[in-house]
Amino acid sequence: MLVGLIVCVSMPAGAQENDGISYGLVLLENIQFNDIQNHWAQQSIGKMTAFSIVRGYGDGDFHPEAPVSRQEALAFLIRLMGLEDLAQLKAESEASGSTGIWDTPMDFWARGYYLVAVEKGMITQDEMESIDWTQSAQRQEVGVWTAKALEMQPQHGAQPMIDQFSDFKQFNPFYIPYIEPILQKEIMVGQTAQSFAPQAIIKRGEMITILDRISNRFIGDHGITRHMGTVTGQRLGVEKQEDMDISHTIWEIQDPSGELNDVVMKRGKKGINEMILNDMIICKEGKFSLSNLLSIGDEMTYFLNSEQKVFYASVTGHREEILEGTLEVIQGNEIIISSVSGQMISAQILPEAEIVVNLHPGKRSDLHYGQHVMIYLTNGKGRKIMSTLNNDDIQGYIPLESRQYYGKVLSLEQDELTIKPSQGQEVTYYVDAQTRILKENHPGSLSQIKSGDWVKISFADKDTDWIDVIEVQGSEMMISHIYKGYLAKTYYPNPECLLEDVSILNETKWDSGPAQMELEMAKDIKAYDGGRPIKVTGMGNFIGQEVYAATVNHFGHERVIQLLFKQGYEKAYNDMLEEVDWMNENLRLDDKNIHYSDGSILVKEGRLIHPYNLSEDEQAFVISNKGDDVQQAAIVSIQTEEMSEWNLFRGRIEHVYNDYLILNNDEDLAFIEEQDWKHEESDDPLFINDETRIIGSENEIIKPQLFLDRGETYYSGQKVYLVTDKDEILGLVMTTREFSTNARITVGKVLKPVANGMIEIEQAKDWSSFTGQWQMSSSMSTVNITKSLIIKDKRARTANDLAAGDDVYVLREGADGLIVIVQ
Amino acid sequence: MKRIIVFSCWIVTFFFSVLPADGAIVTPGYEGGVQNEQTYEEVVFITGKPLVFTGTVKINTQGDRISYSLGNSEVGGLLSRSITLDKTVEEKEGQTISITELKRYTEKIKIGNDTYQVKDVEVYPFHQSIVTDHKPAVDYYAGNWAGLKTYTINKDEGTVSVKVTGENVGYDHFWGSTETQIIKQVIDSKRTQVVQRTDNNGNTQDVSQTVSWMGTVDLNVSYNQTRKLNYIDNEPTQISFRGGYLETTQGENVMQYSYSLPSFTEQTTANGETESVVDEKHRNRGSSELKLQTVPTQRRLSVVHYRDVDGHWGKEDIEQLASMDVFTQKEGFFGPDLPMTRAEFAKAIALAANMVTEEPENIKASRFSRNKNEETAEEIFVDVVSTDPYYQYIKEVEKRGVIKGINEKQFSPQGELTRAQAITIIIRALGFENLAPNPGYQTGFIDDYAIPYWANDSIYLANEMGLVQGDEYGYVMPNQYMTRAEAAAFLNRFIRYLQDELRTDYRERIIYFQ
Repeated sequence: MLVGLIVCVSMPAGAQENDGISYGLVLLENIQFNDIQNHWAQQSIGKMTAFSIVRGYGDGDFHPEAPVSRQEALAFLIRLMGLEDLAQLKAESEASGSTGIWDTPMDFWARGYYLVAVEKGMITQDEMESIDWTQSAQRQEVGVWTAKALEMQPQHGAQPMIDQFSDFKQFNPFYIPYIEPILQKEIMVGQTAQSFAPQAIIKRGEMITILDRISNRFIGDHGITRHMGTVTGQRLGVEKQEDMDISHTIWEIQDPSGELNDVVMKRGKKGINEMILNDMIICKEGKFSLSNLLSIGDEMTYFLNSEQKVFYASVTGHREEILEGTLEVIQGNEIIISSVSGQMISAQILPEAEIVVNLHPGKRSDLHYGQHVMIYLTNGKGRKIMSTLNNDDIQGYIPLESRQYYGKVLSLEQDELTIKPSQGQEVTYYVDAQTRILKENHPGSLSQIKSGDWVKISFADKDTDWIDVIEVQGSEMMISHIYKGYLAKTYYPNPECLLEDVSILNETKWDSGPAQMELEMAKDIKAYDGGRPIKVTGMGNFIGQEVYAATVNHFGHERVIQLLFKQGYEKAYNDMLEEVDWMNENLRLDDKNIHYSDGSILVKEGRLIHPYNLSEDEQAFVISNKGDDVQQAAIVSIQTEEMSEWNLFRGRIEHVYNDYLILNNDEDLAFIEEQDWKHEESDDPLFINDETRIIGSENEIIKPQLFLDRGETYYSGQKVYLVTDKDEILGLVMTTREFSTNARITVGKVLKPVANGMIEIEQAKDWSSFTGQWQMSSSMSTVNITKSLIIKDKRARTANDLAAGDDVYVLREGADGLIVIVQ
Repeated sequence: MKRIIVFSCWIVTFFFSVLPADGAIVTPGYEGGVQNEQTYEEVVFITGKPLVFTGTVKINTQGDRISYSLGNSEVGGLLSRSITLDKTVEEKEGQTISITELKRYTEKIKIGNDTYQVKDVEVYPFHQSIVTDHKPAVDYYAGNWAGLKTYTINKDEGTVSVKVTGENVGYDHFWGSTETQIIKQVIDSKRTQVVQRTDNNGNTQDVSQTVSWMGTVDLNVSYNQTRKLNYIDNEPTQISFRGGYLETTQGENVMQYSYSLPSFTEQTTANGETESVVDEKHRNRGSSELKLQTVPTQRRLSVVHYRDVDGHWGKEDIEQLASMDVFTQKEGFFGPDLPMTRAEFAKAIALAANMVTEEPENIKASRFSRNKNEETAEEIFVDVVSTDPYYQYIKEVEKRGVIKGINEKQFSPQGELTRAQAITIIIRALGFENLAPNPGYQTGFIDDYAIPYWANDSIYLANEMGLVQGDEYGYVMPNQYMTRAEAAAFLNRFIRYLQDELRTDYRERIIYFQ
């Protein structure tokens, strides 16, 4: 019972509608004999089998090379002629009577066929009684019987086809008049161009080919009708039945008169079981298939059986043409283009025609006047429009900064920046002089990019590996603290941990911290037990164990980004890295081998780094955990010197010219290199600009113009400290004290912003030129900056611009800061 | 009896489908503050000093009435503010444009002896407009606002005007939402007070003294809510399941603010009183952060018992998706290495991005009560009938433009899913297909030639976003079929992208680079 309805019938129904056959799939299997794949007679064998003219041996083979006996050859022909029933009838009526005609060798089953053959004039009574029918048939014999079956007139006289064969003498002369028309109609051809091999034994493949070639004459006798047409469309529909959904594929076939007929294939679906309800066999490009390989534009000959069902079609060609030109207009389903020769061409396009612009899916609204188009017509209807817009120069264009990646810097070596994007694998890009660098929205330099920084890199072009802009994130990824403590509790799912007996790493020693401390854990925390990663949800098993925790600031809250459970006993080293063995993940320092792993907390310049960035000859502070026989690095903190953006000079002014000064080349002339004053002869000019801050010996601010106006007569011999960016002077401080009193260098972090002209510096370290090392400052952590030259972001600033957390480099005389540079 | 059971099932399903809080965040207005369930924090700058006020904010269900009640115990401050918004919304082809004005506005801040007051909307012109782009799996929005709020100081002592410009950008999807607001304020204060001054002759007289200053404030606020899944192992071994997934939803609201305000110095007047004077030479510059998190809501997901995924590389992805009902099969044989069909993937993506508005159970249940006219369900594809178990999902994803048929009429539900198809589906779900370069480019993969033209943009974008990478030789294999395990891994990647990547992009990538 139909409960649904057929939908999607958008086109007019055809004049005639024919279904496929219910046994389409079985038939397809039947005609695909195992031994005819790639056989030259494959198509004929398949087709004749589909037409039920011939059949195989029932074992899936056809034996196309096997000989055909004379009686079989006759039977094939008679079956093709639709006279099998008659033969049957004759055999039965004959069986009662008994005559002597059966003396010749022949098989009993063939009796009816001889009688029909005699009746139809294919053989004479004489032949029937004299030939050994069980012997293999000769090619010439089959030719004669075929000609007689077709009721061809024997051709006496000129026999041009026979004459071209060199072996014409081998023909039975009585056969020749019959063979000639067979050759003319190309029902049989020579075995080669020169020879016909008339006495050669005919093979099954050859026999079936002959049947195929003459079949059109006889299919009517089998109730089969033959039709021709071109596939012009495909419609789909669905029909619902109570227990099954039936989908229809309707092929629209236009016959040569222009009439449209429908051929309907049906599939049913019951739950997940899909079955073919009816279909037909297609022979296309030498292959058999069901109708699914049919396509629009195929020209075909198709056959209906006596029940008016389509069972077989052979695709003979494909009708498609391409129109090319520039688009004039599209109106409704009509498109007008002007061809290269300027001719206006109009074509119909299908409503669902596929549109492709620059190899990109498009819509009708993407087609504009003047656009180059190619219209693919099938049977005169535009099915697909390929179009191009001549804008090669902007193909692949991306807006500036739209190609952007965000990731963590793994390493920056010369011009190679390797980052680990927040998703995906690490990638390396290149930096050149054109690359702009922004740190917290201010112009910066390459030296400000540290391993462990988060950066946003943008490209100007789709395919380049050269970076256009690198934006460096603020201080959010800086390690705030490294703690050690006993894990007392973990909370979940909002991951937090409670540490007890906390120590805080202060440079190279543990300071005691709070007795209890609660810390947030980052969602992407790296948690390790030795080198083994552990899940935050599994941390309950580690309660009571000692753990190292590195934290960063997350919107005002400290949060743990790496956790490492302590194993064994702690031992600290502070020495030069002698060797870094990345292959075996080993460090060598102080004559010890220390193994590092993914769990090790590696810190450099305040950031967690990747082991790539460890290198030999760097000063490292290492806390190792001594296990049974190995030392595992828990914390590796690399102490590096900042590559300065500035130069610090001291010397006496010798000349002051138009806009620059030159320092006296005496032994006092020196600049800071590796924290120590190095004397170097130089008479390079150092330039003064309008922003140069000049602080006089009376602590007065001298305007640059005034300084230059006064000139060398006024300032010659003046002792000065200078901070320069290359050869531009950022600031200049005059001093009356002797250089030999050796102003000292202190580095640290501003603890508090300025109050009463003093800053407090935490983690202050003084440079000892005696030991050549930084030493923790004993007491001097307060510096008077009322008279200081303050440099921040390559500019002279005021005390107000110093903020808590700034890393400062201080040149001081006692507690008086001469120069404070924010790193 | 059967009927009743079915009915009660229906109720239960309905209840659950409504119960989980949807990912949408409710932002506490546009004043620049953070909140969790209990507390709201905001920084008040109008006195010239940053003062953190803490209290509560209440928003009505329509979201157009917001009232704040805050205090600061340090300075004895009280703030009460009530806002009524007037919002008009215009729908345009997959986009929504909203325009918001203030209908009513009152604000009163008491700090010490001073009262700052915004009396009504007349002294606070405010205009805001937000455009929302609705994509299949995600809604994206961006907007701007500007306002000029004028407070009176103690009725007649002067005014503090706050010029506000703001922009917000955000997204909203099943796995979370983030809204980041970048607010800039310029504060202009002019206050005239009558003070007693003693002149040189020792005479006391009333002098009118005007203190004026300007300040600027940058507020970067981000509201986020993310739904996450975590696997929890069971401690005992004598338990019927080894572990399972916990789904948590947590809000995390952060604010980073920086200011440049006047520096005040205390001065002692001739008559011994101290007064605060603006130090013109110095500025009070600083920055700080606020963060408030909600207590995460939790839901345990059902446990799955597959017999053929233990030890398979895709185990975690498969079990996670099954736990969250993206794969509805919960036990037995999953077939991780079998091909994924188009219908199954359509269903999975529909469930993973919560695109199905009605639970399939509801549809089944409603069939029992089908007394009314025969419903003729709309057929979208001839090979997907309305009784097909995948019908509902395929209909939804097709309606939203996530998946198209293999042609106008056919979906090919049993067709095997190719990598190009899966990638295109994900990119369309995210709504990113228009971000690709101008057509006519190459994706850069060695097998670029093999990429179907409709997948070009998606493969390019997925690679840019890190969702897809070529193999070690640079091939993307667009026409290779995806196995069920590969499809699971890819879907999970899509979910993680929604959970983490988008949040980072909308929060850290904006605020940290400001």
